[in-house]
Amino acid sequence: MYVAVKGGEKAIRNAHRLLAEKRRGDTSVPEVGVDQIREQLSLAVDRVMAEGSLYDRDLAALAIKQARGDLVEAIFLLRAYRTTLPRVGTSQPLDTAAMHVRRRISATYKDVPGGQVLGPTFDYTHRLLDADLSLPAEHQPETRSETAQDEKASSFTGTCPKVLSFLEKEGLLPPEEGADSPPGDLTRQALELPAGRDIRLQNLARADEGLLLALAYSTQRGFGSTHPFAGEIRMGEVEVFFTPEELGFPVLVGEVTLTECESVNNLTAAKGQPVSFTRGYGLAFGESERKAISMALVDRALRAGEFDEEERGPAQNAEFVLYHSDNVEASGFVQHLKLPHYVDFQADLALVRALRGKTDMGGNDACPDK
Amino acid sequence: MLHDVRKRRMAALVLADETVLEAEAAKFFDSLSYTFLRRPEAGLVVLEGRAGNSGQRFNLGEMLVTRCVVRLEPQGNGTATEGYAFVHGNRPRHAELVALFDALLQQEAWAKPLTRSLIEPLVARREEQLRKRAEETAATRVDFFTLVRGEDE
Repeated sequence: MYVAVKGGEKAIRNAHRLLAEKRRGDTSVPEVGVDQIREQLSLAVDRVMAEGSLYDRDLAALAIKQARGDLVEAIFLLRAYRTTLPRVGTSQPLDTAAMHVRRRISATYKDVPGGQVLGPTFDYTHRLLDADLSLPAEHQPETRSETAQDEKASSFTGTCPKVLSFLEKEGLLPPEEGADSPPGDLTRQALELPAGRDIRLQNLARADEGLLLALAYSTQRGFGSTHPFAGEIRMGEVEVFFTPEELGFPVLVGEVTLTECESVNNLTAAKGQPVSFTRGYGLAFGESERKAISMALVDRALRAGEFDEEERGPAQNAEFVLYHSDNVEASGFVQHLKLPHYVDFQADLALVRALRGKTDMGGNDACPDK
Repeated sequence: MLHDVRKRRMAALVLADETVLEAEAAKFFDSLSYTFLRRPEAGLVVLEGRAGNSGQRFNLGEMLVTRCVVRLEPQGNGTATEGYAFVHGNRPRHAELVALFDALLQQEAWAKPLTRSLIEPLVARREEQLRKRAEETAATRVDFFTLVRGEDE
């Protein structure tokens, strides 16, 4: 039981004033602009949008600034802000096959139609700190990419077919099918189990990246292995279409950057059916590759029941995953422990003293200042 | 098919730089008479994804948009038109300008000249941006090859 406390207004006001000062830091250093965060800390912005479940680069950048760079706090700010806005409607399902691709790789096929493009990746960097970055730009060495001269590179048009479609055509991977009915919505109805894949995917899309990463890793280490391959990872811009009631036809609202991972996983042979691969799906706002891969692995792990797999790890347990994935909820519940619990604790204290009094006659008083 | 033309124009306006729309509107803004049927207002559009891009639909998250509706009186003969805008982000002025141009482009006297002076250059600019983006990306195209390591020999 939590009993309310009163008082401390002045201390709280002063604490918030101090927080604002600490946010600003040393005033001899120029203040960082929201536009600088948006442009130069773009992956932090992406994470805040993904887990804040709200696509807007400016708001996410503002939240990061306000939260002093604490991304989970920034996510909380974004979640709180979205509750103040009216909902206009629902987009047409985003078509990732029509993505203007800026990165696309496959770990299953070397020569995949449309080609593999690395895009702006940390992969293959040496992870050595670059002292040049601490210099102003004009003193940094120039890094222009060499123009792509060969024919293959110039044949890249920006859109490419889905890698997994080749396995589908061969009949080795069942195509994704699902009801065309509107999906459930976690922001409107509380989570109930068993949860359909629509609810699970929504939950994972806004889930804490750290938790998803750990769960995905746990499946790889044997806690419910699903033998994944990254069939395709693609990142780029997808156009958003929305049909306003007043117009009755879809209009372009803008474009969003998305990262998608489609995994190819271990075999299944449903009764009377030939053996085939299975699949997991990850989709996230922004350049969020670690998140998208983790999501695909956890999505596949959560489909254990569908393929009659024995549950051998937490990642396969929908209740465990779905109820602990939200970092706003988790952070709230864990951090509420720091609020005054004086009355609860007094109750426990009285109980322990009473028990000690019974068994340990004349024992020392543990709290002499009482 | 009328919708297709309007859709393409609206798309060009939505993706345009606000400053470009502002500069174009400034040429004749004072001669226009329009009222808001809906003042620019921020809201959310739910973004839906599909498992594997073809399967189960699910809510991926929401997107901030600004909507606006204007009613534009005709210049000379003709009827008043309503212009609509649904623009990504919290961009009240951009939404107002998109709605205004949408209304203008539905009026015969404006459609042709505005298509030429504004829409066509916007479409060309967008194509150029996409081409440039694809070119930058193409420079990172990779050909992996597999090697026999020779342990088995």
